Amino acid sequence: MARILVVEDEETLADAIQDVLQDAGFDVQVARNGLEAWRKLEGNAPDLLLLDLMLPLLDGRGLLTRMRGHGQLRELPVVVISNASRKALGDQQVQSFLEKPVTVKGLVKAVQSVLGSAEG
Amino acid sequence: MDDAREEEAAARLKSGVPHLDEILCGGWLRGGLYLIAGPPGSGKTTLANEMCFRLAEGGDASLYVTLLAETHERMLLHLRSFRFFRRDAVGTRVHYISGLSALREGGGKGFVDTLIRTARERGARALILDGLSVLKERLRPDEDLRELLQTLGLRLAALDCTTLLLSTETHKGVSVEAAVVDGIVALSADLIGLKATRGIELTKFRGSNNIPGRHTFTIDEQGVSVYPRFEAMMRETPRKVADPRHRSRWGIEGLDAMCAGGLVTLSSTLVMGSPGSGKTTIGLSFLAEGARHGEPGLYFGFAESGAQLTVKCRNMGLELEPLQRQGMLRLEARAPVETLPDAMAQELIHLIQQQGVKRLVLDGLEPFAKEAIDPERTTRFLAALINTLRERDVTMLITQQTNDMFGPELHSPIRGIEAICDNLVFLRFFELNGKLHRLITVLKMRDSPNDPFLRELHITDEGPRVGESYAALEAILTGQPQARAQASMNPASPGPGLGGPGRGEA
Repeated sequence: MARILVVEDEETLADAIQDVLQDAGFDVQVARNGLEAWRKLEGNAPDLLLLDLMLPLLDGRGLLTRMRGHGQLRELPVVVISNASRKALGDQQVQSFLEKPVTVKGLVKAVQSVLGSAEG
Repeated sequence: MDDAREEEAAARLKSGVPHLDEILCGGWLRGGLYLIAGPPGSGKTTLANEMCFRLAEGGDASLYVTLLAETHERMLLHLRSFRFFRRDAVGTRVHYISGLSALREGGGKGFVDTLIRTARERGARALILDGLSVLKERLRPDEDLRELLQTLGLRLAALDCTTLLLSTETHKGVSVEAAVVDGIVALSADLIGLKATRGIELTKFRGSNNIPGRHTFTIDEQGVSVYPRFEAMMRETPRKVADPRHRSRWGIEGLDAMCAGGLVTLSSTLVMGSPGSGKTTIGLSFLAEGARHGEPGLYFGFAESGAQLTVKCRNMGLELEPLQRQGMLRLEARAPVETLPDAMAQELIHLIQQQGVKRLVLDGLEPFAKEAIDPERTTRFLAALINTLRERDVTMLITQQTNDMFGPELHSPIRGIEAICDNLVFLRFFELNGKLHRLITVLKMRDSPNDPFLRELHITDEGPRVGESYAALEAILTGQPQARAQASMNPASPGPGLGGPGRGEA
């Protein structure tokens, strides 16, 4: 079962995403801010990161910068799901960028697609 | 700008919300802690968000922290319809985060730490905390709201970050947050009759000479627009005076003679009269005369469109189109409903500055009086408007409709307006020998002699002109004249160049 770390500060949204992805058969963990996410990534890297960009403490872009400088996390697939514009990513590259609001179908499809590509 | 003013401006963070900074006397004090209070729907969220996007336009970052059930996605959905919204700024200059997890997990202290660290990391110049009531509800029993807010304010001030707390409480009584903050901005949404109005009031503002009292504001696709109470903004004593040696001619045969050569330049004239008595016509003649002699004119009215007025004048031999094409005359008409007097005054001043207007006809005071939220302020408002226009080198003519077509009594719909204006011209219909006549008289001219006679105003296909006086009649002003003993209608002492009645009468 693929493991996904969801980084989302809005609790109701994080809960909803967790439910959707668990129903789709994924093992889901949640972090509420960038620093919590970083600790979880360092402890046990998931198969995919589902990342909001506007977060308390360390933001999504800052988290990506740290990951890209980290040997094991450098290649971790990332799906961004955010209200922010693409500009908020700066020069960071991600596998998929979803603008909120996202449908359940769209979210699951994006996650499956990125994981499929990563496996392939 | 002198050093003191420069220093004062540097100490302020401009909200960028149109005219809000005027009542804040330049903006928020940098690093200050402010409370924006108002019931749901009063405009707090829109105001705060607009400020964030205005700051972003200037390159500054802001942090919008929510403690609400509403998701950022839904909030942004509503914001997209405003012109100030910039998609590119979201996540780059305007950062939305939820503070709920930090509050639940770390209590008040953890929450404050999270906010400070995030604000520092984003380089935020402003922090908005939306949902103060949630913070109060969720504080741990051993945590003190006063201490928390003071800590938050001081630590953010050290980062040069100004904080706005949004609260749904009215804060009319004493509350901890009201005592701690540097200022309180109270927003309200009221229904006056069937008309919805929004109010904004600074109930507390430390360290500056702000504009107290209630002001109005609107929210439309542009965002928030604040309309400071006009008379409160115009507090300076007028410096310019109307000098009787300088005259602004009407360009109406006979009327300039009645006014000893014309209206005194920079004076204000009230033209009162019943509907159809000729107020608009003589007003437009006054503007056209000025425009022909290099004085740009503005007509601002509520009953007829510019196109209607142009046709009407053409039928009287008064061609306005060439003057409009030359940029010497502008005709502006507004619907007289659901208006805000302060907003109209603001627009009027803007148009006058933009066009370099020297002559103004304000055709109708009813929208200013009837739409006033507080009718008691109408006279003060108009006095401020007149003073402001004189300071801008404008000679103005205001028309006011009297409600009685005929009858012995005359009621002025706005109490005291006659005393504010320098000059008073009165028009009315009266009946004589089965025919209606228009009467014109100059009741008052400040610092100038004027013709004391009551005369007939003819509106002809060659324009308006003033005719004979009615020395043989009395009580004409009542609209019900009576012949003097042994007298019939006897034109007496006609003004210079006056002709007989009926020449091409319209």
